[in-house]
Amino acid sequence: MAGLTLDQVSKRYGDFHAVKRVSLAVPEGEFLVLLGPSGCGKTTTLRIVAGFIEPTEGNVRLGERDVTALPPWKRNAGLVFQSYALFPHLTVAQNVAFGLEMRKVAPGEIGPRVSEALKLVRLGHLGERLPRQLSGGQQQRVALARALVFKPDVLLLDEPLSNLDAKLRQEVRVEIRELQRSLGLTTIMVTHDQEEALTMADRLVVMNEGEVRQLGTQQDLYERPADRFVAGFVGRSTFLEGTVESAGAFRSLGGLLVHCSGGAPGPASLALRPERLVLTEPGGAFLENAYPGVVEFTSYLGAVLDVHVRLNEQERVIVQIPNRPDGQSPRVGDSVSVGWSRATGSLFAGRSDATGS
Amino acid sequence: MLVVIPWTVRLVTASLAGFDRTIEEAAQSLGANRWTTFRRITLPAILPGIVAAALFGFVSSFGNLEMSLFLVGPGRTTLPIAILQYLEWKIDPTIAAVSVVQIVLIGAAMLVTDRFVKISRVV
Repeated sequence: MAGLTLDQVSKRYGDFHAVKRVSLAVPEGEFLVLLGPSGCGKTTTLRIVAGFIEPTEGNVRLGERDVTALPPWKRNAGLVFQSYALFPHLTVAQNVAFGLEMRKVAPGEIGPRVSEALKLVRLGHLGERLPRQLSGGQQQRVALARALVFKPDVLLLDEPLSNLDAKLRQEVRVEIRELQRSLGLTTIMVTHDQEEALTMADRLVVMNEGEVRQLGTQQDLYERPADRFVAGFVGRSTFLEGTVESAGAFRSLGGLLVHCSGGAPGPASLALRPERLVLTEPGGAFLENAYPGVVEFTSYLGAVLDVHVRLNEQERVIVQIPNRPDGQSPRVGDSVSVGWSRATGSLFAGRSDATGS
Repeated sequence: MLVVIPWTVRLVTASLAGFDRTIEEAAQSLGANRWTTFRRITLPAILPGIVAAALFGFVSSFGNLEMSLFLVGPGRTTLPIAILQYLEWKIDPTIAAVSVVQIVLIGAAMLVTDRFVKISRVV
């Protein structure tokens, strides 16, 4: 086990910057998740760490070793792929043994270590099967055992759960996380699924367009998003575009005057979390900001209800409310009032024409 | 040879196209260098295609009469040519015996192929 450091790593393909000056320090034993939309450079970053892509600039260190120029087979990194990538012509036990054979482990020692690794992922009884005779979840666990058996310095997971169905995914999440914690593995996982990222990570890195937008814990990203992109990507936000007229006063394009905290005068957008907004009868909100509106759309999500409220011609906000058993949920066309406190919402300088969601 | 090259190339290409490149990457991440990866992982995975192509090439060259007739060098002959020439002058059961030997040969080839490309793998 060792920590992992990326120092100013960039990857260019011609004019295209796949990864722009990414610097990360992953301490030993940490579970770091790279999160971002497709094409944001997260997989490229992972492949640079694995050694399949050589960075144009910068270097990668594993513990004290500079591995930037090392080929993948000399890096001692355990890798789990989205497609599992098990060797189809080898049995489960042979798959797991492969990494040990490559490391010239004594043949007498391979057997016990393989069965130990398979037991770790609760597949001790399936060693003689071929990969195609296993279910997706089992194949995934074999891939994990194969990546762990040779005690890698770092574990790299490339969207390992994307091919599993939703129910199984939740189980495997917990399983991987517990295993990682008990073995104290330095781990990097790539995903575009924010729920997965939030449940598994110690810390998260949000990437977009090849750049690190924010690095922090779940709370950091959710409560204090660094920019508009993070606010829209982690959790949900409704954005109001407008101008900060003076510190604490934001005027939306639709003419609403919003009391907010901070903000430098100039064009800005205000991100509001749907579950932090309060929905009341008209005139009922006792908050710094309260605006009348009309319910335009509702969607029933089981535990919660999404209510889309039109505040004026240009602005509509989403309010998420708990689903009450008394059936007193707002209907389309109802007049309501939407309110939020001064501290709710995050201000970002600059304006975007694209409507965030 | 020229006649079967397009076929063998296609057959091997098809097995390469169906080959998942990430398993090569998996092998490399587990510590196998390029040569070992090819020998231990890539080759076994595409072996069915290679065996099929080899067998196909052999069978179509072996049974070919008209092209061999024109291309064969002086002093050499192939089995189909020898059979044709034999039949021009004699009619006896030798040819039937030769055919039986051929059938046995093909049968053996099938068994050898099955050793590499198990029908049970596909069905």
